[in-house]
Amino acid sequence: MPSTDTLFNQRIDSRRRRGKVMAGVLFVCTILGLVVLATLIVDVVLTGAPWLSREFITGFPRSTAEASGIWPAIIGSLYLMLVVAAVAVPLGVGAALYLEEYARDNWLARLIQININNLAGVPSVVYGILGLGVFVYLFGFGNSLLAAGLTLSLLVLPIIVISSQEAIRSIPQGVRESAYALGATRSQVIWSHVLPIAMPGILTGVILSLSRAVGETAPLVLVGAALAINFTPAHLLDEFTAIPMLIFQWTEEPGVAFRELAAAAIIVLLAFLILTNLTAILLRNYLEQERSA
Amino acid sequence: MHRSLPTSLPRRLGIFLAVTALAFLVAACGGDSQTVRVDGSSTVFPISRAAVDAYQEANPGSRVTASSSGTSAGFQRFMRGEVDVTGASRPIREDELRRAEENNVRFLELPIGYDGLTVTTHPDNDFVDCLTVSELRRIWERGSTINNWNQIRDDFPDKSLRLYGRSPASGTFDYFTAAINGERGNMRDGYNASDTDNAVVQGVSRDVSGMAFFGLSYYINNRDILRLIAIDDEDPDTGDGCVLPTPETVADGTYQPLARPEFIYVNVDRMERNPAVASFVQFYLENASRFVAEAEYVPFEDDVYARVMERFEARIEGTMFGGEGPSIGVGMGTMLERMQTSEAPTGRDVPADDDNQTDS
Repeated sequence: MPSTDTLFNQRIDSRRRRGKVMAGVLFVCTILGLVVLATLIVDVVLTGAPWLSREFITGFPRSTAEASGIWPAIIGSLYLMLVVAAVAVPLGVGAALYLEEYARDNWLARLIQININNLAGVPSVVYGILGLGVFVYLFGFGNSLLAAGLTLSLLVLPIIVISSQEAIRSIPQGVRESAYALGATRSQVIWSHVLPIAMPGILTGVILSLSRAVGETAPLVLVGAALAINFTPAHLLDEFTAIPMLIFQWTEEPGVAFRELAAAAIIVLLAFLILTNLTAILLRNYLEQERSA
Repeated sequence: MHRSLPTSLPRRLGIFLAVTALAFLVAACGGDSQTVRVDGSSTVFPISRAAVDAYQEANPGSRVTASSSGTSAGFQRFMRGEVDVTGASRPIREDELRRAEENNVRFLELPIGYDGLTVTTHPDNDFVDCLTVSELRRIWERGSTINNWNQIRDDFPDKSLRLYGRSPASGTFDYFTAAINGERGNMRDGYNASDTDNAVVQGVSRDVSGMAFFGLSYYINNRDILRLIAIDDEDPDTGDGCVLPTPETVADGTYQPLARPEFIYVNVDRMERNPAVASFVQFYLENASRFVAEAEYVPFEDDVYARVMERFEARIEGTMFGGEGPSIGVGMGTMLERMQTSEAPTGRDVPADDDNQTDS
């Protein structure tokens, strides 16, 4: 029986090789996802780009692909995003603050925590059914922006809560303790220390969840978003359509032209998401700089 | 820690959001109700959209929305009074008539055109030209174990058979099962069920052993990647032998039993309250033949549209079909006959134009 020492030395090359193989496998994992994504984007851009025009952006959905536009859907998606931001962000950040800063570690808090974690995994179509039952019928909001916006808010609320909790939890306890030591109250600590320090992390979660909300189709189908519409929504209880709804409808059309138009709509949706994310990221960077300045 | 900015920024954001929300809510008080709402079958949707399109061009400033929740979901919303017009790829069913009665919904039933269901294979399939309805039934009916072409006919090659079709949520599925297997929902296990016609087209066009069913317009748009199968309904009254689906054979009733009428249903109370609804339906019917053709379905003859218009103008309420659901083999002749006789209604829930309200 050789000693462990010799065994260790004898196999150093093979272990190094194995390490390299592992690194290679992990690299392929990384690249594979990116390649699939790049293929998708290239395919969509090649198919849809010829259809992008000013008429397409500012027009209304019509019965031929050539005459169709996406304007009411862009406005609808923008309003939906505002409703979700106005409803889900304060609620989500508030819940995260309560759970991290106020709640004691008892069975009730744990029950709430488990429920929030599970809610984040509920399929969006289930939220759609909930929204149809509660907002559309029970509250009588109809097939409106408000009903859809509230439904999407519920959908992303758990994600905002969890990511805000992570951001708040990562603040060193010493920060709070030094503020308390100077006589700050709990709410002063939260407003002047916890929230500002956690804000970049919270915003990251908000960006991700707003993007998710804007890309959802199933809940919108259920709460009854329109497909053909000849006006842009003027208020919260107005009817509306959204970009994913048109993509969904156009891919189902028998003609090839509409499917190419769907690709153009996907480009618009991607651009829309990049623009809104960029705004949020700039805001986040600004906050980070202000804090470290 | 710099207090000043971090404290005020969340607050400023909050104020901005609150003001935005408030502005929205204030604006909401000025909402108007003159919107015309259309929903229903995804098959009828392209026709209705063509109508919405032309209507808004002729009436700038009008407000019309259209969705395609499907025939059954459309009827549900229709019975709750959420939509003014709903499209249907089959006549109203018994259970839906009951809902109408419970909710005191009075409706007009207006046929607007024909759709044909096609049976297709991969273009490289060179041995099938025609199938009889009884052969189709043996393939598709509940309990069928046919998985090889030579089980259909002895002179077909020994080649596995794979089947593609719509999922049970669709009116297309309802109609195909009722027409071929004699009962709505009677369908075998082990076929590739898709939620969209395009997915079915993609499936069969890539599978040399495949067979599929879907709407005629999907064949017309994909004819170079599909092979069309003629259907023999073994009934000499509706054309002898094998009949290929074409706009002509669908319209003259020889392509049977896979040709079906499409309808719109109009809520009478909502039409009386909102003049825009009546104006929209009038416009829809006046130009129906154009809209149906634009959507790549098969229009009726002009005299049928004239009769539909008479029904609309006389506000003849109720159904011509007595709640039987998918109406198999309703050719042009039958349709004309039904429209003539329906003024002396046989079905319940068919008040004539003497506007007798249902009990309540």
